[in-house]
Amino acid sequence: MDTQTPAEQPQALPFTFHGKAGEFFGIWIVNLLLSVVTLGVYSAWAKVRTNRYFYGSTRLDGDAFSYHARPLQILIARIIVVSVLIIFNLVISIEPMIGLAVLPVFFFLFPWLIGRSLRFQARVSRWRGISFDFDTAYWPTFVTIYIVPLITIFSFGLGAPVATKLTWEWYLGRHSFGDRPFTSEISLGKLYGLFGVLFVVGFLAFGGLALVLAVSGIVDRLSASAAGDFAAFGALLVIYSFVILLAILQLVWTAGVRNIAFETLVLDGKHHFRSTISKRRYAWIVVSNLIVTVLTFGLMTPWAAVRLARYIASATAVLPGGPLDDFVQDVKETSGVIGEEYVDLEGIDIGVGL
Amino acid sequence: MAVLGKFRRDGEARATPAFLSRDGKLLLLLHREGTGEFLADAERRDIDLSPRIASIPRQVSLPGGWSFETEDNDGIDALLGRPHDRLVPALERFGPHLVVVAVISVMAIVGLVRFGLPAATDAAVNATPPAVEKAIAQGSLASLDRTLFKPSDHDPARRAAIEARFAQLVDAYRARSDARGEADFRLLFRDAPFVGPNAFAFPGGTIVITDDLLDLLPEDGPVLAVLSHEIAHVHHRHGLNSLYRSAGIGALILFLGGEASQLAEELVVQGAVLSNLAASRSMEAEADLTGVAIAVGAGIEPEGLVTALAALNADCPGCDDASWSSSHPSFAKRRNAIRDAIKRSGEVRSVTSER
Repeated sequence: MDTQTPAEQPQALPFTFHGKAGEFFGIWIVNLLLSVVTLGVYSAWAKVRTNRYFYGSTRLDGDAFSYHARPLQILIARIIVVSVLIIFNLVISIEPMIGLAVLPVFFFLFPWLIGRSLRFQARVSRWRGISFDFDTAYWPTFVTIYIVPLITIFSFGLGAPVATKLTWEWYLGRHSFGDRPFTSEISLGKLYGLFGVLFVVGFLAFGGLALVLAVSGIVDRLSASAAGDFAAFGALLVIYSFVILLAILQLVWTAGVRNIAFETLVLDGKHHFRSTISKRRYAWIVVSNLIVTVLTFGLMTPWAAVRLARYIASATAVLPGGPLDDFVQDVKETSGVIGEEYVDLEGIDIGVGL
Repeated sequence: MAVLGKFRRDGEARATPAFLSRDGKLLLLLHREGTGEFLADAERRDIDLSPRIASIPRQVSLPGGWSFETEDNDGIDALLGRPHDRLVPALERFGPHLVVVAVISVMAIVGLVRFGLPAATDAAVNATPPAVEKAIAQGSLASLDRTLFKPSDHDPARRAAIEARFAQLVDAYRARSDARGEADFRLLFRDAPFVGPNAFAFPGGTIVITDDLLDLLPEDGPVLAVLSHEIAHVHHRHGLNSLYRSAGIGALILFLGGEASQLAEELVVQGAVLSNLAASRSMEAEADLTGVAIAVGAGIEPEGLVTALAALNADCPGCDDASWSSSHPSFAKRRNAIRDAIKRSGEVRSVTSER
């Protein structure tokens, strides 16, 4: 039946996002209410419902992704994390030296936890019934989270593209879909090209902002001793304009890196990916989302999340190196049961994502 | 009745279009679409139906890792759903009732922060045994001694005199009917050049006064008024209270923050900082009032606290910012409140002495 010629130009299969702001608003506000009235216990269910909604609303080649974490798994993980934090804080407030002695244990435990957490997140994510997976090898994780950031620090930021390349290749390359590996060899030249442009733009923008501030004399007025609410707000304004500028540069960088990284991402040696996020459009969506969310006291948060997810999905595509149906029929589940995975660390940001 | 969907065997991505139907109360049957060929069956109690969320596809997990996926939300609910599974989806459905949900949510959050948190903090403070309180104080004092504190090099004769009057002050406090019996008062002198003129009350009763404060207050009277204020902090267990309060707010953010956006979380964190500052200001005001009562009871001139605050204020021009970003109320506010309290305590005294 499937007798397409291999030489045929692959048809790009775009990701599509079908979530609606109204639908997600209901889920979001009910999550909030139930989390508050249950003093946080429901938040585990809330997280699962939110993720299920976003995964289930994202489709590729007609089929939706699905999220299979159990609320109880997440609740238990949260209880463990909170208990450890409480015990640790109690111990260091009674005997700070014991706290110092425990820190190395946390230091060496952390890469393991990150690996397990990424594995958990991968294994509960499915498409066409097949789970993703993550290779939890300890030392690559250790190097990625502790050694690689040093490259940026010791090169005074100039090595950031190298660190980005290594981190993304670790993250993407350790993932697999079923038993089929992802591979990625990110072009360092392209990363440096992006970095150079942002460096120049950032330099000019910060210089310009500093000049405007100096000329308008806000700086002088701020340092006056009569510091009232007005001056405090002025200071906040200055700080926030720098923060926002930095955030925009960061957004453009993240979007650019994703495009560059996806160019070389290959699944099972034949299926390629494409990310075409427009840096300007992406920055605009994130910044306008922020403004709308603030102006509506957070009520438009669901709208903003859906809007961003829709754009990111639409700018992402798979370039199959052959019929996708044939491919998925060969893919085998990797061993292991989701139920064994109890490690789900939240709020861990390893500089990869979108 | 049957529901159309996709059937998959364990670990296989190949999907077979299939109908799911039900035979009686227990048995579930799967047949290939079109041919009607039998594919699988399972007991109702052995299968798991993913919860309904808006209109996303639903998964039925069968024994052995087999699965059935359908887009027909109403159909699968009619076939397999249990009544209580529909409560949350019904609530989540977009409609005017969400306004009520939003209002209740906001009221619940405000209530939790405004009333629930203080109540929980008080309960936790009351449940903390004095031994734990003392251990916490010793730990933080030990680390301060290693970092910011140095042994005092203030005039030993004056230190001894203050110590003697502090002991009388403590005795007078202990004689009060509402005194905390388990508090173990100790006065320590430290040189802390990076801290400046200040006094600290640690949980359990250890009070530290810095050399800079002794230099700033040449008379012993104001120093003892300051110590009355610190004893009042110990009396109200303010140290533990603020410790637990920050921990409670941290836990709230941890649990509720995940539901909001990163930005909303940022706002919540800022709000928490402001609310901690507000709590700190009200604790200072409370310690001022109780401190006056303790000083009056011990025969110490309570106006000394105003003298001390005025000296602190003069020592650091511009430090007195009376705003939401300050941990202490403004000097003027504290002075007026202290003087009101002194006046009231004087009236009480004159009434009792007339009898």
